[in-house]
Amino acid sequence: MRLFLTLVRRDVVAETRRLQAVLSMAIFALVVMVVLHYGWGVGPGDASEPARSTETVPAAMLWVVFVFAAILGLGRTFAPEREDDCLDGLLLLPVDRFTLFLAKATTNLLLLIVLQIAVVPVFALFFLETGVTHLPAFIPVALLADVGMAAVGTLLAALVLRARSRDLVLPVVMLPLLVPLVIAATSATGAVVDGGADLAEVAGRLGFLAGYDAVMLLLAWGTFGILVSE
Amino acid sequence: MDTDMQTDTREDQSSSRGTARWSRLYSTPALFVWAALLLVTGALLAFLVAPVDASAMGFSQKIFYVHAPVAETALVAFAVSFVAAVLSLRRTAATDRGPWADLETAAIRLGLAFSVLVLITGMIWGRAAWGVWWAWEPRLTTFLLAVLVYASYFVVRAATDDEDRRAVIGSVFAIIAFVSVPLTFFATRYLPEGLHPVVITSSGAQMEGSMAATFVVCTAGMLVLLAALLRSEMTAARIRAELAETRDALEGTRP
Repeated sequence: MRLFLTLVRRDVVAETRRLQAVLSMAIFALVVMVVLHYGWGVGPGDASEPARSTETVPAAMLWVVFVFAAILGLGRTFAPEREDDCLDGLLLLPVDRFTLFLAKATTNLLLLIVLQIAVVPVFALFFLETGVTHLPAFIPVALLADVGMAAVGTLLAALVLRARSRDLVLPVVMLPLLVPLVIAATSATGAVVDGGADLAEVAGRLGFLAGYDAVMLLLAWGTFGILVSE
Repeated sequence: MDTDMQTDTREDQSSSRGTARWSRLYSTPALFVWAALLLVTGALLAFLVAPVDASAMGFSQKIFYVHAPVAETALVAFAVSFVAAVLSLRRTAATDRGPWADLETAAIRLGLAFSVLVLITGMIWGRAAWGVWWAWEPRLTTFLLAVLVYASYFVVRAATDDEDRRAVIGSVFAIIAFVSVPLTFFATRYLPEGLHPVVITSSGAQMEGSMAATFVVCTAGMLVLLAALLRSEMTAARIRAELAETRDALEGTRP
């Protein structure tokens, strides 16, 4: 009888674990819907708003692509450090924790820039008739957004450092936090590609992206040390 | 250890004699009673005293007395979780973190429940006023995102087995999550201004007297309800911890 109860308990526990997976998947799906809405601009209650121009839909697509690619890459941030207690060795270095964070985040930033250098021309070829004529205006948008993604990605990679099923958890926690960044980057990119956009509008979005980066770096400065040393 | 406890109880008794009459008014069960009284009064005021909204909204405006207080209470709960998370991280010893971490988790759980309620009441009202169940509007989207961010708080915690590590991760994530909510709100502002009515503006509340009074009573009721729920969640967490400790101790003595 006791064994029987133990077996039942084991199965119930296993089921609740799966519930966790379902919850993760549901969060993920809902966030993707939110992101897609902000790119495509379709949905109820938008009657007053004109449909997006054909230029801004690719802008949204581009950022959705970037974010998903970034999540794939940034999850690996601490993968080499888990082998052979390498992280403990790093923590022994005579630098403060935030310097460690900045090093990791800079590497991730370079990774994202390389990704974009490879992806943007292909993207322009596939989806933009105008080609890459707006590139100079796009670069500051991309850089500011990359800094934010690298900061959030590195911080959250440290957060799930010792978690079970990291590869499932990281996208679930990262995506909702990146939504403000994706919205701002999409609308800035859309304005840039649109050509006729007024500069003040783009500057406002760039200001928001810079603020987002600053806030995330500040959070990392305050919490990264606790995350890696505990 | 024993003498410590004795002095503790003695102090409790001497100080509680004078305040016993008052402390009974804010014990956990009393808080529930207060919340119920305030909320029932609020509901009566909303339906019997407050005028039917003169603007186009008409009778459907009544849900405002539930919707807005719940929304404010949800934000208060998230603010509580943020403060608790900061205080929890400032403690160096894992045992000192316990109560703050418990408060943080309880506040997030309740904030999440209240946020879902905000979305549901908002959708009901949206259907009546706008004719659609959902509109992509800064406040709606912000609350939806807040629900998703705070739901992932539990995903991240559940994925961590070590208890101390789980508390630290939870606190750090609670801080990040709280900061992300206003960021979302500002980002969604980049869309054309939404349909959502703005009742309380920088130039004061756009309500007439009896509506404002009803609103204040309902908000007070919701906040007291939050306090009562937080208190009972905290008690439950403490009891769970004691139970786990006792169980550990018993298993340690088993041959």
